[in-house]
Amino acid sequence: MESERVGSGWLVWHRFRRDRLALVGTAFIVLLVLLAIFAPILPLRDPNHGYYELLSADGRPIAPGPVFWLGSDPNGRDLFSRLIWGARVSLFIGFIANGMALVVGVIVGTVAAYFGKWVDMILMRFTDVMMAFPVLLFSIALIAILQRGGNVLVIAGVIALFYWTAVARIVRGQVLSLKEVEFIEAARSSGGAPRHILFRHILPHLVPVIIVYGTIGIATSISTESILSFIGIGVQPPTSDWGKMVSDGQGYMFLAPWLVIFPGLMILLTVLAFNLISDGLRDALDPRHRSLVQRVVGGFSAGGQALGSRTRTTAEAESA
Amino acid sequence: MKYHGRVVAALAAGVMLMYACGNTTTDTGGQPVSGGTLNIAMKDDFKTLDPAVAYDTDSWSVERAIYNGLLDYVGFTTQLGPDIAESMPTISPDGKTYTFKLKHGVKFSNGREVTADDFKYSFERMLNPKTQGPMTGGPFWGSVSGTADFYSGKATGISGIKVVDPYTLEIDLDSPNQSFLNVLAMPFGFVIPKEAVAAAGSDYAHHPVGTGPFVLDKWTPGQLLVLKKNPSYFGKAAYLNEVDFQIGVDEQVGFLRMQQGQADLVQPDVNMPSAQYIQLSADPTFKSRIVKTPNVDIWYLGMNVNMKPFDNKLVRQAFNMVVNKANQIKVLNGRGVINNGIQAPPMPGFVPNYNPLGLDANGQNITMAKSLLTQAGYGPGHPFPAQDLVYPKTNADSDNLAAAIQQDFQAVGITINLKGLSFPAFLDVTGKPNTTALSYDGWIQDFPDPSDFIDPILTCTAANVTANGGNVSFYCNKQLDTIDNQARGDTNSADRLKLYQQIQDIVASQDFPWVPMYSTLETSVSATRVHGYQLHPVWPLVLTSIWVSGGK
Repeated sequence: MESERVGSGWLVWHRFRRDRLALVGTAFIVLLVLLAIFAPILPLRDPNHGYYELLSADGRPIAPGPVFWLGSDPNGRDLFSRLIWGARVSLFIGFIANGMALVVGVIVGTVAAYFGKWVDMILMRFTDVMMAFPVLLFSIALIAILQRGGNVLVIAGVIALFYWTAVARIVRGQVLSLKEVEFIEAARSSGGAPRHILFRHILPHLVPVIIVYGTIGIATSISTESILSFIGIGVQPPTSDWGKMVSDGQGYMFLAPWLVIFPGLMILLTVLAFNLISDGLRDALDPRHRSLVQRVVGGFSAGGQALGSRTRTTAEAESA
Repeated sequence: MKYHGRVVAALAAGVMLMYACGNTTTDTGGQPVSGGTLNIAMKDDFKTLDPAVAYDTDSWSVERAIYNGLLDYVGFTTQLGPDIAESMPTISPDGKTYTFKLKHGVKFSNGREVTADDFKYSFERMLNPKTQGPMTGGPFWGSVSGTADFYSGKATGISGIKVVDPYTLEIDLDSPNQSFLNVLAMPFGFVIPKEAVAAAGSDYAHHPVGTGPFVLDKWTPGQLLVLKKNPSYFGKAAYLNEVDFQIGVDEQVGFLRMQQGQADLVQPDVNMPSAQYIQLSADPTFKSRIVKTPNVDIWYLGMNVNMKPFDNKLVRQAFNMVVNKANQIKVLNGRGVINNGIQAPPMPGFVPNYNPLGLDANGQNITMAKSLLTQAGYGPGHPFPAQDLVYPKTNADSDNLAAAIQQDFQAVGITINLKGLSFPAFLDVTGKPNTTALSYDGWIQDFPDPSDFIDPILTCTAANVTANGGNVSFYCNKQLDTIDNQARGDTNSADRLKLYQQIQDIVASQDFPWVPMYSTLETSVSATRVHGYQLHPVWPLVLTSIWVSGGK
């Protein structure tokens, strides 16, 4: 068991490493996380300090140049510094929201599929109900009711409230098919308690799915958080946040395009990077699904065979 | 009225004495031509066109075009003159009885002639609690005899409003009120026909009938409101045949449309957003078309004198020295002037360069502020408690203004947390006693009389209001109220203005319920084919002076 896992870990890394785009994405995210973590000790200007004395009398934002590398906003605040500090907020909310969504989604999906019948019925109908809610409208209402627009944990919670449903459905599907696999039946017939079977036999097989959807989920959470801040119910001023920066800068689209372009680019690159990573991970963990990019670029399809052998070996190992 | 960046924003001032700030009119474009359609981009739909109910500049923009009252401001001045009244009223020597003679032959757009009965009906309907209008029970009409009995249901009519004959209306007051004529000129004093209200039932708000230069032709909620010229208007006919309000157009989109010739005016009752202002003032086509005029408004930090730590006068005085008012104006793109008092330019009696605390050019005195805070007992051992600054969140500008204040207070070691709220929520929490300690407030004139900057926001009466009050500091000084009551009835205008200046001294150099900050400039712009567009000192939009090139 142990040696098998280490072995598959190496295999995964070996496959992942070949995906150049995924590596670029990983490098970008690692750099961003490091910048975000070390923002307080980096030689950056205070992101919330307005250099009003540098502004012209009509309060025109300062263009990118030697004073402010990426320019300033209408309050004379350093855009570069605000972008880095904004990464803290975006990444934090992205990770936390997604973490909550994963935990809830995996629990609901597994329990529903494993116990089936009325448990499945109730949980999945509830999931359907949650999915049917218009996300933005409901978030606005919820945040208004909670009266806690500025609290990052509340925002993360609200995002998680909607994104666990997707995870729950996928996990349920996976568990349903796993349930019928021989080694699970074997475990059940040899008297394994449900908890034992769930934790020891089913959950480990969900790990690839969780990892892949977790990475996509971070991207979704970050873009949702940007949207919430964009419409004014996310992070509150003066905290810098990418979505809010785009929202505040949109009026200056023609006059001071840097106010929209740079934070917009950060959202785009971060979401793209997480998507590339998840794409790479999916290929590495489950070569059956070739990514679109690789199918187009690489154009070979030896995946099916590799998967077949992998499933067989894992199943053998489990039943052994 | 309570200042709301979006809803209430455009009442601007016409007396241009202390400002030299550019044009009040755009190009005159030669001889006016009749005809054509004016396209106006509006963000939100109109709430109502019932003059008894509407209290926002969007609605007033349209109401001004379809209704008339007894009096109106002459041209683009703050001088009152007769409208449906034949002349200014005769006022009895005790200042309590007003007699109006009406013009003959003024007709509603349904063809019926306006008589004194219509005014009595309109005023009583407007003040009737069942109409649920904002004037009911308020200070403006409270001095009219018999209103109290009417509100409580003891009387079916208001005894102080009397129809002497079809063309004579008499209004009796319980006590003299020097601003009552201004009150009559507000849209709440517009005349409407009884039969139109009966025909529309509860939906009169969408089926208005008036006497004005335009009539409502079509109103598709959320999309389009069309005004057509009223052929039987009793005054000078409008140049425009039609005015189309295109509803649901965001300001940024509106300004793009204007640059492409698809809109003539964009949200004319609201000050131009910063971004558009900076951009268009650099645009060769539009920079000469930007019109500016002082708003009669005052922006201030309200400190609740009943709540800690602002119950300590030393703290309030210290706060008066911390805000960098020049930075606030910079965030507003220079569209404002520092104001250390409570009256706005160019209100009658306004004192230019008023500076009772001897503050520097930015409106600060940080050294003094620090020593006052020390005197008040705050220091390293006893830090000043962090304060929430509650402000109405209307656009990115409001966040930026509040953030600048936050930074100012860092300089004296005080932490300010920003708490932006929607306008209704803001009114709710700042209008309730003992709820909000520190708020970012604005007040804009209802009418150009200094009493409007005191009665509703700085008196004990206003402090006793328990919901949606205007006195956000809950400040009450009996001495101030005595002077204010004296001023209200004072018929000598010079003496009266001195009394209001005395009140300003009490507030700004003795009691400090506010940190007065600045008064703003109103800016607007029109498309190149628009001529005669002018900002009015009181009205949010005047359509009758506008014509379009070639009358198309």
